[in-house]
Amino acid sequence: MSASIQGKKTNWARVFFIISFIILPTINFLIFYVYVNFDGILMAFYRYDTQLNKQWGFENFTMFFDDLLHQSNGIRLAFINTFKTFLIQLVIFPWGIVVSYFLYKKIPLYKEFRILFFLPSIINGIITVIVYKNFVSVEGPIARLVQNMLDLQEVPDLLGDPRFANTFVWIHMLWLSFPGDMIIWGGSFARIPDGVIESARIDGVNWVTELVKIILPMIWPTFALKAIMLISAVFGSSGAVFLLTNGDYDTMTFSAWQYIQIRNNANNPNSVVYNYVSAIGILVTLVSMVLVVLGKWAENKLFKDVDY
Amino acid sequence: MKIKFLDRKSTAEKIIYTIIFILFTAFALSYLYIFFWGVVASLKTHDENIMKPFAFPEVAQWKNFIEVFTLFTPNKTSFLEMTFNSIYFSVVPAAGGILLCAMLSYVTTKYNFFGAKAYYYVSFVVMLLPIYSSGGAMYKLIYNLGLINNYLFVVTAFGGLGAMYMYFAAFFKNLSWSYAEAAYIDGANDWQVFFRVMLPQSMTMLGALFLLSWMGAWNSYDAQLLYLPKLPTLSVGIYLFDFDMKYYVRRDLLFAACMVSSIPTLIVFICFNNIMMSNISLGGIKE
Repeated sequence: MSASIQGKKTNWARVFFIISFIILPTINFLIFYVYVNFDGILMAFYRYDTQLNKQWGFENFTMFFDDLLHQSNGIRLAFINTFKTFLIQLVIFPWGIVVSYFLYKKIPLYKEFRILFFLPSIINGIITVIVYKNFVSVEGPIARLVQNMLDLQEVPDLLGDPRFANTFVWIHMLWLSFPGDMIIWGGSFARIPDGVIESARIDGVNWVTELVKIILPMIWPTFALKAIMLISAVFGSSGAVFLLTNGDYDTMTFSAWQYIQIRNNANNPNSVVYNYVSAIGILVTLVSMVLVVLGKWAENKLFKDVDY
Repeated sequence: MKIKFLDRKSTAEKIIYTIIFILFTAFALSYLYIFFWGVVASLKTHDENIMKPFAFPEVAQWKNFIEVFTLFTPNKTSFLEMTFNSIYFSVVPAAGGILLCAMLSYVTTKYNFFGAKAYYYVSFVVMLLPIYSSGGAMYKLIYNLGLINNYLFVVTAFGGLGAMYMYFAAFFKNLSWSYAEAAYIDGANDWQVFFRVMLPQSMTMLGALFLLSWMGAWNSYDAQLLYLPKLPTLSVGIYLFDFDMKYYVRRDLLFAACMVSSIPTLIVFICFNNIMMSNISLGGIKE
């Protein structure tokens, strides 16, 4: 049950109360989401000439397709790396559920694991990157191991050599992503009634059956939502590329590329780079919209009654 | 030694649990090592950090933790100024953003008025669909509004729609309205009902979301680096110190700064990890 502003006559005190609660978030949303995205769409269709006059057209889009087809190391490589990173994230996604499952099943030292697994989120990402860089540096143990394994003449610079850089960006991502989204999965598991799990145990189900046939169906709304969120964020897939390599040595991803383009042109908001970035952003958003719709359709087709 | 936990398990399960335990231990130790390595590095001299990055210090350089307050000055910003910026740009957006979000989700789930349901659907779309074309437009807007290197930049966080809204909406939807009715009968107005009756019931979730949001903002560097380069937080300061001056930087000071900047989040997490880890959920449970 809830309250209404309409009775025999309008309750103006309540109207004022409601307005006071929604006004700031609504204005903020209109400015920093609606206006920004609308302007982003417009920006894709013009660029400034030398006199700072807007020249409308599709030049940003044609330039993008031209770069995509002819530049081997630019935006095309960024998209290829983004998709590879996305595939790795697809693998990590179910693994995160498995980790949370074993924590939920109170594996020995589960409380300590839960705290330690959260350390990468507590410690500044810059610090973990600095430690990782030292570990895989030419002086570190990993580089010598790679040298011995591949029988190389010199100790390789693992983050400064295109042959290895991408792999070691992904290893960094895998290393820190190991625990998955413990907060969301842990929260979902905690809401499963104990009786359901206990009766399954009495019936003699093993851990795989328990996870796949009892727990997963029960947390299905969360799973479906997280899966769609993962798919929609496909173009945001990126390891710590900006901090580890700044996108050099063939490691650029789309989101790192976008960030670096904007940062490199900071203090010059009339730069044509912004329009170019917006044009690519529109195309990428359209693709991710299609993926979300397809993903949602597949979920509903494969599994009835998916609501969030 | 007999492990009680494995008593009631089959042989296959015992093997799986043992493998998982070993894997968990390896990863947990590797995460602990980040912190341990950072502490050791912060106690070494600059030369020791360059020449022997994995060795222990010959003499622990505790003075690094004092010098960091005077000599760690990227962009000519003092350590104390960066600490203030870190507190301001993490606490204000986290607290303001979450309170506004709680208020918005409360009125839109508990009061019937035109457009109330729209907030839910809009949040759902915002959460599900990242729009990739807004980066340039957002920078342009922030620049034109004069919010670059401006303490008022925090207003950008006072939104309320998106994933955070969904958490609160799920909570308030399930919260019984009878509490409010009882308060109305006792003569409370809408404000008193929210701030004295309904909001306090969401305190554990609100606290958990605040802490997570605060931690994220404390450690964040990308938005700050882009929009607030002259008001560096500790994270941005560490980035600027290391990445922009990599060949001249005193590594001992860098690592000491890293460790000092991690202390607040570590303490908060150690004290409140239970609250943070068991009060947030997204999506429902099927009956």
